[in-house]
This record gives sequence, structure tokens and C-alpha cells, in this order.
Amino acid sequence: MNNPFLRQKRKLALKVIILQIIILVAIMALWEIASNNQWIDAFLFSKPSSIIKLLINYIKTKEIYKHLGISLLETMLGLSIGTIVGILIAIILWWNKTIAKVLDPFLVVGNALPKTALAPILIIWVGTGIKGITVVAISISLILTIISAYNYFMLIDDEKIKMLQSFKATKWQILTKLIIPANIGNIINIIKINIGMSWVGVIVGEFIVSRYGIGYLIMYGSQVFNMDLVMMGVFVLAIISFIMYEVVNLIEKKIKRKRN
Amino acid sequence: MKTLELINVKKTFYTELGALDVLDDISFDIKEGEIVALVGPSGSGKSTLLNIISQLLTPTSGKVIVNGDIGYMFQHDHLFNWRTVWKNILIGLEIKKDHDPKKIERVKELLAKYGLMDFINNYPQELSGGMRQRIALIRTLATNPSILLLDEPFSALDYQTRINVSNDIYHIIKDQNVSTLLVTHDIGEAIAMADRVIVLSHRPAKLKKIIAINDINAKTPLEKRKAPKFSEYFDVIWGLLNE
Repeated sequence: MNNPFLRQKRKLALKVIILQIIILVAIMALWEIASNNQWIDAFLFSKPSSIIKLLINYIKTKEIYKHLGISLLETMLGLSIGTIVGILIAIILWWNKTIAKVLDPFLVVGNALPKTALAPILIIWVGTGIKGITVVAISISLILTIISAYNYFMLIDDEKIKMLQSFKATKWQILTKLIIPANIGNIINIIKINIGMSWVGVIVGEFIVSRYGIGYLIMYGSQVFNMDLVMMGVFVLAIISFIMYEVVNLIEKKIKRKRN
Repeated sequence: MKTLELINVKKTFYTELGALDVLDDISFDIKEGEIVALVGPSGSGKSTLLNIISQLLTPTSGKVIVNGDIGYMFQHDHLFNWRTVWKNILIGLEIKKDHDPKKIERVKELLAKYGLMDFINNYPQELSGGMRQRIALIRTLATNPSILLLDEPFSALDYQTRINVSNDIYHIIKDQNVSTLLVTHDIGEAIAMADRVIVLSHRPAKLKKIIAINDINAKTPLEKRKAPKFSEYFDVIWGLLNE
């Protein structure tokens, strides 16, 4: 590659990654040192080496897979159902303006309401276990998905719709040939936001009632004052959500490349 | 043969403020292959008239007779950036589920004729504004409409591109012998492109005058602009618009 622009770009990317790694290592090192020298209370703050040790232990006993697997399943279910149903409802609202107008105040209230407040009720209604926790996860992402997808759909230039109508396009054709393809990027953004939302739902649900899952580990750890376990739960959570986010990023890049 | 005929078209909008008369007794027609320009002060209801002709609005009274299909072209090209040029051009046929190989062949001829064949696999965002507008016209022509409605089609382009593109589009329209109604606020453009110019009054728009541009001895819009008669027409229309 002798393109100076590309070389420069790659150089900058490398620099950013190196700096990011340095920051991460520095924070971990500082934490470890502060804990070892008793600048902070290791009992309350834990330390990276004990967290890693505990994690390795959990991996060896295969205990972690059970917890991770269940939380991941609940999150994926919450994410996909919340996103798909949310977008379908947004399509219905776009299709029928009367329904959109009628539902508007309900959506506004539903959006403003802290959904975590509903979690205990939902679990009582739906039941404990995967079912209840998935419903909590859906409840957190659903309304936001409906509102933002609907707003994106309505942002499409009226003249573009008129252009299709001049070819006598049906509403279904306007939806499939314009509204959806024009909003692929926005839908991917919604998915990215919903990853975080679904994890909030799953963890909150597991806090309330569960015997497995990362949320359960964190809750259990804090109740028995095992901060290593709490921190490990948070650490695993951070890694998994990062991976999920990156997977979506990769899909996004692939779609963009196909279009260009 | 008349491709388009308007008979005593009136349009009144009803709003919170009451009735608003927009069009008052508009009658004119367009013959096959003729280009008619529509000029008028802004807010004089030109867009309303186009919407009525394209059946997106119904007139309060009066009649619109259209013989054949309508093709609509806008100020912005509205090409979809997730479709290649080729797929953009075929969207009308795709919507109509029309797989007529003759029409596809004709599209290819048009593309070749205007030097766009090399770009059919490109995406619109890779092309210049002038090229995009030519492609938008071919997209409109692909379904073989008998009348073209052009709604300020060049006003988003810079001056030089605008002159060039309007020249090209004039040739495409005349080659295809398709009747055209060109809405513009550019008097020069109206004279350069049209066979007749319709001047509308302020709202409620009445038909003030129809001026035939028939004694300019020139073949292309570019030559017409240079003809001595051009400025005479300009003065007449300018006068009518500022009355």
C-alpha cells in the first residue's frame, strides 16, 4: 500500500488502539497497586487479580457458562422480540395515522415511565424464570423502539413518497421500497441501543427473582459481601455487551460496504 | 391530439381560517409532443395545479382529461442511494410489475445516447448533480408516460449545470416526442424550452395569458437564449408577472 492517505489513516487507528490499551492497563495497575498497598479497602473495592482468579475458577468449574448462557438467552430474546415487535408496531402506526394519533399519549406516558418500576409487577404476572425476565427486558426496549422507529419513518421526504406514487405505488410498495431500506441504518442504531436496554431488563429481572444468571451472581455477591464476585459479574457483563455491540457494528459495516 | 386538457378547473382549500381560493377557472391543453411552461408569482398555486393533474388532489370543480400515463419529475432527483443507477431507473417498471423487454431496451438506448451507460452500476451519490437529474428524467421516462410534469426540475442545480442539463433534457423530451408541462419561476428557462408559456396571476390564480414562442429562429434552448427575440418575450412575460 503506497497510498499516503491510507497509510496515515491506518497509523492513526493504530495510535488510538495503543492509547486505549495503555489507559485500560494503567487503570487496572493503579487499582491493583492501590488495593495491595491498602490505599483503598480491598474488601470493599476488590482488585483485578482476585477478580481474574475468581473468573478462572468459574470457567474451570464451568459454573460461569450456566449463568452466562441463561442471561445471554434472556437478553437475546428480549432484544429480538423488543426490536422486531417494536418495529412492526411502528410500521402499523406509519400505515394508519389514526392509530398513531390515538396511541400517542399512551406511548408518551409509557416512554416517560421508569420501566424498571414495572418489573416486579410483570414478574408476578408472567412468572419467574426465563419467561418473566425476558418480558421485563422487552418492556424496557419496546416503547423506545416504537417511538424512535416511527419518528424515523415519518422523517422520510414526502416528495420521495410522491415520486413513488406517481408510478402508482401501493402503500406496501412505499413501505418495502422506500421506508424500510431508507431506514436500515437507523434500525441498526435502534438495535445497538436495545442491546444495552435488554441487558438492563435482564439484570433488573434477575435481581428481583432468579437462581441463575449474571444478575443473580451480582446480587448474591453483594448480599454475602463477596465483592470479587460482584466485580466479576460486572466484568463479564462489560465484555459480553462489548462483543454484542461489535457484532452489530460488523453487520452494519457489511451492509454499508454492500451499498457502496 | 391533446394529451392533456384542463377545463374550468377551480380549487378551494378549506382551512381553519376559512375557504382559500387557489385556482380560479383554469383552462388549457397540451398537444402531443408539445412543451408548455407554466410561470406565475410564487404562491400562485402552480404546485396545486400539478397535484391536480397528477391526481394527488381533486379539483373543487372543473375537469382534467389526461390521455395516457403521467411522469412526474421534481426539483430534487430523489434517487435512492441504496440502489444502483440501473435499479433506480427501473423502479417505476418494478412498481408497475412491467417486464416489457422493449421498455428496458429503450431505457438502455437513452442511457447510451446520453453517455450514462458507463455509470449504471454506480450509486447516485457518486455522480454529479447534473448527471443525477438526467438519470431522474430517464427514470421518469422508463414507464413510457405520454405526459411529463416537470416541477422546477433545474432549480437545485448551479447556473452552468442548469443551462447544460436543461439543454440535454430538452433534446431528450423532443426526441421522445412526449408532451411536457414545465413549472418554473425562471422566465428565461420557460422561453428557452417551451413552445408556449402560460402566465398565471396572483392567488387565486387565473390564466393571464398564453404566449406562443413561435417566431424564435433557433433549434435548441441555448440558441434561443441568444436570439434577439428572446429578450422581447422576456420583457412581455416580465411585464405580465409584475402587473
